[in-house]
Amino acid sequence: MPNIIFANTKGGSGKTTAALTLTSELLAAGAHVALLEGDPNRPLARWAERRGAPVIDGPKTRVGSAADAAVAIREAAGDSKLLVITTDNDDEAVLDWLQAAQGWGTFDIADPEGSPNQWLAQVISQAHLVLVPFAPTTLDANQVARTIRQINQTERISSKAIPHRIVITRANPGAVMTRDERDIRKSLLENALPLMDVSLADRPAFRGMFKHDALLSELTPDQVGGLPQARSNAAAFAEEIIEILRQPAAQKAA
Amino acid sequence: MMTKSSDAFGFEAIGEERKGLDLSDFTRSPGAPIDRPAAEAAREVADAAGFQSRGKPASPRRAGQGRANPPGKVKISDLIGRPDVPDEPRAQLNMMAPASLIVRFKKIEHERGVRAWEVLKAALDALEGPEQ
Repeated sequence: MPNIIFANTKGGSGKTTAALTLTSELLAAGAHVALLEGDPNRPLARWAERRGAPVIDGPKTRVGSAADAAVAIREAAGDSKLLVITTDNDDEAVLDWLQAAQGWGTFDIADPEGSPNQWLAQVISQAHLVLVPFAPTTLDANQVARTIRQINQTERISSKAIPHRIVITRANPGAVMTRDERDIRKSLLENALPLMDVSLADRPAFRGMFKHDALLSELTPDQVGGLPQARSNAAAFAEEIIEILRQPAAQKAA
Repeated sequence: MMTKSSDAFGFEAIGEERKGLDLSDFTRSPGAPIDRPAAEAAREVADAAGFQSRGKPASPRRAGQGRANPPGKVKISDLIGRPDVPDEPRAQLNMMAPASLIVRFKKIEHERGVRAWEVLKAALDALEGPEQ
């Protein structure tokens, strides 16, 4: 079961929205998805609870091992295809939860807090794919570089490849790129940094998943505008990620 | 003669071709064990880069104000000289060393799949000889 982490040391880069968009596509395709949430604000847990999906409160569910965590997951998940595990305040137990979650779902998606923190570093070290969401502004560029450095140095010290891609989020939904986005794309490509072909556009439908406690496939045109474009964007985003996960580098990782 | 089309423009057939995500290569299976050396490497890199341990946000320290040890961790300075140092608490050791030595250290850690402290323990055990 692949571990995918949306990692950026800066908040507001679109991590959680991108994570939920991917989750939404995977669930719609029939997968079991475990969401590992590091953000103490718990937006994913709250979204899941409002939908009636199981949520494990990690800090309250003390586990001493991955085996303990696996028992807690089996008990909480039941027949659900979605499970959210919050692990805020505990970068030691996160690896136990991660290992146990791998044994439960088809995909494991981690959404850390947007800050330079050990939780993020620990989960990166076990990832089959690290996605670095990046709202294309100069301000965010520096933090992307910091996240990529963390990945590269972990790769060097552990002698292990950690497949990663930068994904532009909050892109201009129109056909024309902003100047910032164009310049940043050019710089990333010139520096041979791995950039996903598909960007996630800034669309109301993506925010609508949180507003209406819904998957993208459950939203209706009277709830949000631009639904066909958002669905098409999300499908292309998920397809590219699945294609990356099929590549040998991701198969070998972790 | 067209065999089938309820859509005058033929777009319906294109819609049928779009099958959605193909997840056939991905199945639920027992999870792989955690790669502890990689996790340890990530922790070292993150420590060096000033990444915070979550839930323990840094607060500005005033001069002379000590910092409480995190649960399960102790300062070595609190233990040196004690005859009965327990194994349970963890302490942190930071050191500068020749790069070639660190590379040897990391190679052993990675190849044997053990944690950094276990390499150190094996080296110390070897230096100190068999226990009496």
